[in-house]
Amino acid sequence: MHPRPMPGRWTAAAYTSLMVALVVAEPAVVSLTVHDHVQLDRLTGTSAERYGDLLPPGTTPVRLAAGTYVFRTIADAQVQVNEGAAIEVTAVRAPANKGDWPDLTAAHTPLPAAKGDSLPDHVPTLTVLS
Amino acid sequence: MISRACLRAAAVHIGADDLRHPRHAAWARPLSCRVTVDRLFRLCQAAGVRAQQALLGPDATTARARTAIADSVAGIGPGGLLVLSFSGHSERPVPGEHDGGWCLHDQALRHAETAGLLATAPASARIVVIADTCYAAACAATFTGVPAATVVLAACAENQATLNYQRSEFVQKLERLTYPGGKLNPDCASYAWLRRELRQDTPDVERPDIRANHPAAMRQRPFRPAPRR
Repeated sequence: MHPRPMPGRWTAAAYTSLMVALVVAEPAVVSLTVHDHVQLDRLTGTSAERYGDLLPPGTTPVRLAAGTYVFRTIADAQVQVNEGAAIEVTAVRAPANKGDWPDLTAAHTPLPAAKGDSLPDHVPTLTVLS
Repeated sequence: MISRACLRAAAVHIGADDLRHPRHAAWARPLSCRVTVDRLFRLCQAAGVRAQQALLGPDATTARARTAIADSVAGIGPGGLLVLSFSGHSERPVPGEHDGGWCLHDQALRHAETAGLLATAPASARIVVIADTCYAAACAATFTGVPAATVVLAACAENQATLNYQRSEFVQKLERLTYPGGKLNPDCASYAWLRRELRQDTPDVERPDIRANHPAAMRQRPFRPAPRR
């Protein structure tokens, strides 16, 4: 389907979402800075399992085993990766057609799609620091 | 022996994981529909609902859904209980065009049409709508005109999306909070309590909600018909 036009302004009722994927080749620690309560999921084939407790607003160091993880947030997020860490951090760009969600090259794990027809009205910003 | 309450309760569960409408057919197949329908069927059975229908895959057409809902509404009678559940993809409301809908096998069933079917239930009946989908709470806005007390149990808000996983965390939690292992949870005494518990420990980007068209409905014990007078 074609994405709906962005509204002239986005309000509290706007659909706001940023999905971040972390593809971890070797165990590592990352620092996630978020402004809302965020759940980190570890992908397992076509499904996912919750990884750790809900992350509160602020900066939280998270130890990750090798695998693919995703989280979604309604506000800007920052991921700090230690130098040399084998991690690929990607803001998952919404596709033009929701049937065409991308596979991350390094992940070999399809990313989950949403069960709705429209793209977010507003996509917060991801900053990756290394 | 079937209790009197059982005779007054019905459920329709829609799991739309086979979409043929050109607009929907290319989307990722919803993965959790059958597990969700199984869980909700079991939950309703535990709650004493004996008359249950499941519309799955190619059977989940708009025509069959309309008929199942209309027949169930007609069957529950005054003070009865109807549970209507949906699992699958949704269309988001577009202001000025439509107020959203559930994507069924052949096309979307608009919330306004569902509301029209539910509006034929007696005012004394109770209706529970379980929406395990994106923009899940959006349907609640169209149910405000339904005379019967109508409670929407939504996997997320009207401006939020759920992800296409094999199991719905929302439905698993709903079952655990209401009828864990098929037994009534005595702590689950009202929809207000259930709402609080469902929302606990959930991310801000996808937060379950419960909306009622009459505030008093939030004090009802979940999944129970109205008491006999």
